[in-house]
Amino acid sequence: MAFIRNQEKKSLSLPGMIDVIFLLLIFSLVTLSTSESNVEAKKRGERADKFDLPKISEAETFEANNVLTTLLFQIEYVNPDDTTGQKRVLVLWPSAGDSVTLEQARLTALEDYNLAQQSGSTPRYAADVPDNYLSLSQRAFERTQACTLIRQSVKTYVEENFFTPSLSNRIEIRAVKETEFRLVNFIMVESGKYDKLIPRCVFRTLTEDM
Amino acid sequence: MGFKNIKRTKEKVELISLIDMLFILLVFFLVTSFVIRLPLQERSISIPTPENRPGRAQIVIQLIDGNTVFWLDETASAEVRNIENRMGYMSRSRLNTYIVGKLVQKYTIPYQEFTEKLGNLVHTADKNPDHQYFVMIRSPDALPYVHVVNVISRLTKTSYNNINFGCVGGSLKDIRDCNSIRTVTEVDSYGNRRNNIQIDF
Repeated sequence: MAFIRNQEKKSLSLPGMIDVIFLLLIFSLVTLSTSESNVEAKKRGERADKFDLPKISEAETFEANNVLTTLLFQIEYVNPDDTTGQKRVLVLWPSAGDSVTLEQARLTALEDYNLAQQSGSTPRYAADVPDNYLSLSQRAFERTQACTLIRQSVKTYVEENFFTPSLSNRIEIRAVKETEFRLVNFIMVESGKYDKLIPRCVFRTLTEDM
Repeated sequence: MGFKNIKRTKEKVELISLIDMLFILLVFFLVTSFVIRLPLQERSISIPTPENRPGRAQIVIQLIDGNTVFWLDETASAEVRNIENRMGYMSRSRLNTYIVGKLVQKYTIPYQEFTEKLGNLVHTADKNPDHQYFVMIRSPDALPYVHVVNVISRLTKTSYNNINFGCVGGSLKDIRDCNSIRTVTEVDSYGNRRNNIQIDF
């Protein structure tokens, strides 16, 4: 007896193939865009992830340059892992001839800080903020090493750079978001003493990319 | 001649393809919603440096802590004038204490109400582009400065940049301990007589 082979012709299902192609397309597009955004973040130095700046969602902000263009006070934790611990002020100076990035200026300030600690001298670009500075009287607070450094730095910078009143004259503040207002306010008040020579201070913040 | 009877097969939606498509759409929306969350970037916000002279403001925002705010605006002037008229027999120092106490009681608001008020202020400023508004923000020393930045970030959201602001250090205790708080009648730039609150620290 002869058997008839019931052979069904196997063919590719078109809708299934389209599904798979779409999936591959979406996957490749998404991975491409994600990897590109990571590359851009790395180009920017990934500062945002490591430094806990205030996050704001709605404001008129402008671009924060990674290259220092004016005097910048950075307030950070001495130990970045201990967010309740002691803070220090770093004075980051721009370079007149060369372009100094924020990270380079920070390293310079830290080197100066470490050298001064080893030699027992007073650092020129960094100072610890006393733990108890909130309980100090205004006079005692203004005599702390941190405040003296801030006062001297603003004075020197103004004398060397701000000769005439201009809206572009500014002092920048880059401080961890838990920084108490007293310290930040001191920088603003010291800048305000020069009246129109420093009409504004600029705070670094984290804002959604625009 | 007989015609062929064409059999019409009933066209069904293929369940498997439908599920595939649904999954694709689901994955697509999930992924786009994840990607569309823009990365945070470091940016700058500008704040005027404080001036060393007596300030004037239409609104005083005294931050107390992260949860409550003392909001003093022109509606308080009528309140103070009313107290002055009713309690004029008191000594000045007692009257100051009484006025501040009443104001603090009435104008201390929770943070949520505060954000609503800020939103209303921005809305009003946008509706009146020819008007200038001045807001004074006072923050106590111990409060993290992020609170001040948050307030400023909201105030800068106006379309016409007609909300000016200043930022100084100070606590509610300073207002309580002020030398005097009183209303003064002044003529504004439009020629209208207005009762303003004057606080001498």
